[in-house]
Amino acid sequence: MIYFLKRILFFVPSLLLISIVVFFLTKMSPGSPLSDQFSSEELDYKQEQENIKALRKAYKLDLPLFYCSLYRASSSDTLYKIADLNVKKSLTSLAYEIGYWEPINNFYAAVKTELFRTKSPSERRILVKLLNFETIKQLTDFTFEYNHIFSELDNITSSITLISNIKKSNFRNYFFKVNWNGFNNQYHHWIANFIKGDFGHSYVDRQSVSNKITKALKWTVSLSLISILLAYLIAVPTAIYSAANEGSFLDRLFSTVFFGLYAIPSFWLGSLCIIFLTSETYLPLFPTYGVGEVPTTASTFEIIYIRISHLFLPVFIWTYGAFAFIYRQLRASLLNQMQTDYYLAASAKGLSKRSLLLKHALRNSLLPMITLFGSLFPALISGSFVVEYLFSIPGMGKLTIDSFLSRDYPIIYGILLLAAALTLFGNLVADILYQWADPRLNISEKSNN
Amino acid sequence: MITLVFLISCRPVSKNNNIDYITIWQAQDSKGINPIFVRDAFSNYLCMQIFQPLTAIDFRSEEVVGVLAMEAPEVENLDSNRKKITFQLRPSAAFDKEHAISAKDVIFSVKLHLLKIPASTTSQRFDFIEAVTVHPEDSMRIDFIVEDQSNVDFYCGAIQLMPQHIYDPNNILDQFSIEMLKNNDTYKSLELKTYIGFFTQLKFSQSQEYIYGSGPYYIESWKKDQNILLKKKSNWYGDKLSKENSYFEAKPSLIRYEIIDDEQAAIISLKSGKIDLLSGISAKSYHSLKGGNNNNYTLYSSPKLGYNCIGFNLENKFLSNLQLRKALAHSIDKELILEIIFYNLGKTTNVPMAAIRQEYYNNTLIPYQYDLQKAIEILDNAQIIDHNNDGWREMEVEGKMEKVELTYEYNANNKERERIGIILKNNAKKIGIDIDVRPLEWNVYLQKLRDGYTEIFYSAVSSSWLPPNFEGSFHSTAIKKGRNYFNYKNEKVDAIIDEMNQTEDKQKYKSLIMDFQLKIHQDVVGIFLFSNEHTFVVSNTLNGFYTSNQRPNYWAPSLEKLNEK
Repeated sequence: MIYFLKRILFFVPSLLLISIVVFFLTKMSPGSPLSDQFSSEELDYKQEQENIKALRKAYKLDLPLFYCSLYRASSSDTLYKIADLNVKKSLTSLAYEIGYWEPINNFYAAVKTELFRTKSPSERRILVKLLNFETIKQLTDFTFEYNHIFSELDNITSSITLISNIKKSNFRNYFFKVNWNGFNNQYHHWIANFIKGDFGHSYVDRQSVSNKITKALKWTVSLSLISILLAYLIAVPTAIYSAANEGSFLDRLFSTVFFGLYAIPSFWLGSLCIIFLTSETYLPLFPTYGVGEVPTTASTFEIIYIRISHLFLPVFIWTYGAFAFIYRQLRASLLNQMQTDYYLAASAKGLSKRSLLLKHALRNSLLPMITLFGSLFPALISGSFVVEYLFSIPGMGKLTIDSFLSRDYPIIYGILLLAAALTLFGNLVADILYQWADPRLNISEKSNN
Repeated sequence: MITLVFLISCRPVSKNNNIDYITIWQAQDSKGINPIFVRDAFSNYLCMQIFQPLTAIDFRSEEVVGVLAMEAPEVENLDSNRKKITFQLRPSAAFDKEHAISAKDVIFSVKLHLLKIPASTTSQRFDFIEAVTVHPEDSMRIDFIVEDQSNVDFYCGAIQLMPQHIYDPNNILDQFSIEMLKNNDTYKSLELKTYIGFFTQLKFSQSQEYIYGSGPYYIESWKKDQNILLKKKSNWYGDKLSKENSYFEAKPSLIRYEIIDDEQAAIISLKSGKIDLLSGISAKSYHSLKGGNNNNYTLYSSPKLGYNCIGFNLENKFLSNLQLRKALAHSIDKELILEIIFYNLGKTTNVPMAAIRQEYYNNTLIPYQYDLQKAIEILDNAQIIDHNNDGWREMEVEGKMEKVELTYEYNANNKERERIGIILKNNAKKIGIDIDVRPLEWNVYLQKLRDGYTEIFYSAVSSSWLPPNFEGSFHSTAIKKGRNYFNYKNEKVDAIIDEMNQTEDKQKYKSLIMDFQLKIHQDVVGIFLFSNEHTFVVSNTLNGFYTSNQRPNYWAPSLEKLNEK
């Protein structure tokens, strides 16, 4: 019992650790949720920056990432305030070259001032370009090239002159500073809201994350549960039969059929099913796509009928690959048990084959099944992108891929943390089941000892 | 048990035989239907059917026609920098029976379009509007005072009208003038902050009851990622104007957009009679449908105004060499690519523009014909030769001989771009140039393009009917901060582009655009391949279909369903 309590308590730090990893990995991935929000051509810089600022504020992207930050002595702890990733990269690179941040910051401030002042689009473009160079040589060459413009912008030219004439101090690049940002940071806001059950809002369509996940989960969990149930219902009895009748015609038939199915890629079989079983050209037995349109006046039977007809093919495509996997594991495990001394002794004592298999061998063969069962929990919500895409089912697989592609961070975080929580939960359930299946595995005692 | 479930679930597929019920395939759902926040093409198309602008390009004639305005506006130059654009509103125009459209609605809608809201896609676009006033003698006549810029009259007319009784029931925006809304200090006002909070509520983009305009349709139901059903308004004012232009054609009483991710499933649904129209299917599917039994449907295609190209990064140590770029241009067989990858659905081009734009297209340019022998000669003459006899050419870079190795990058999962890359690689190999073909995840690819770090890239650019503006793609100031992924820098071209954007003289513009094309062609900034065609598969149960160069190349409300006998 204490062991399980410990495991449950272990959940919290594990989840927090996972949340940190998820948060940073997502932040480090290229692209930005705001990158498509503005086309920076032909627009007023001030207006563009104000809109970006407002959006960053709304999404809390204008805060430091974490409680503390580690940065080079030649860099700054306030770089997170710069929205444009290219500008950030460019300024960091210039600071790295000279070893100081302050002259670079002055240069940035001077360019920004001019950008806010200018009304000329061409001048604006030239000024913006100034913030995109990564070496001092490029910067000075460019200012030389556009001397007719920069000669009148004293603040900028003097700051560039300072940068190019400064005595470089490369050693400062090898010293790091740590800064404490406090609780007003992006991670803290996100995790605090997450704990309160507020997963935030999608960057793409501004819908609440929990609402989007719940809607998608409805279909994915239904499909997963039916698939898992079906896979076990079919694979377990056939595995028992095959083990009991090893080498028989049916044993060979099951193996051939299941492994044959296992070898077929689901997207290919799914496409074939759509072509041959939904098309009028062949056998229009099932609907081609979707989950079905239920009229408001439909009876329960009608609803079931509509859903079953729409979900039959997706469930089949989702499930068939699992038959062989479960079947192979259980059959091999049962055959192993049938070679053991206790099985032979019980058999010699005259126990029926049915009783031997179901009461003794099966229970001892369950360990690999339990391991498999534990891993099914995250699969419950992860969905299958292939099945959902082929049959146009608005489930979790599709939501996850779409969110990754559009860098919709709140949804990505929500899904990944949910999957992590279910993985931890699945492992705990598996531990409990191990002990039930084989009391010799007294995990609690072992852990106490 | 399983057999029983199988038997229950088997049922013959029923056809969509509803008269006036048009079902159209859509690959992805709308992200939100609000003219102020609209970002994706499908949402924009839905907005066109729900809301109406003052003027727009007619789908049939492809000319500016009056929608809520009677006709195209009158334009008057006030001074060198400002213009007055005058619209005469249609007297019969109305949101519904109780809400006729007046100049007040135009002013309200302009304010909404200018409102500085995070994620607004319109506030910057319409920033040129300085004031809007109602004519003192005619309350249906409205004047826009605007900063002068190209096509400003067209942009003014593009403002979609939104009813104040839905989007601002307490008339809060009446307290703020356009001038005030353009001033940042105004946004400190509590009333305005409250209003922005109200207007940015999700319901105004996602809930059918709150998405309403003067267009022929409203949203009857919206099942996210499944379907959207548009219903025709009863007694719509535009019914009496159906002969005027395409925006008053609204024949079906219901239009259903069915979201189906898989194109193959959509085609099967069309064949089964569940879908009536497919728009924008792949060239491969279009070709296979063309060869099949097509008693149930008809195929159409419409030229797109954009172009496809293989772009070169001119800052690359090898690609900065003009002769190498010329040799690569001679190693690509555009006609062959168009034939085998796009099944001849398109027309080749030599410049960054569709060849069908005859008014602007420079026909005098001599194309870089597919000629590997010529490519080899160019490379030999440029001293890019195989010095060590390993089959690959070397080039002198900063005093050292280096093997010419390049990378072609494209967005992963785009099979057409991948195949073009493989053709480029194979042909380049024949002339001794080593090109690696590398797929990149979309965001990574986009970021790399924006940063100007790609070597050879694939680009497809869309375009509108308006006179082309190349500032964002070929002006040196658009490097890293625009779409000049070529890192192309040419002072003469910069000057031509600047002049093109300033001139109001159409003849001068034409002369400049010819010069621009000549320079781009001479500099071999990229290999400009072709412009594609938009594809359609239309069920024969539909009547009234026509294609248009105006995106999305067809007008769904013009369709009607024939009664099947």
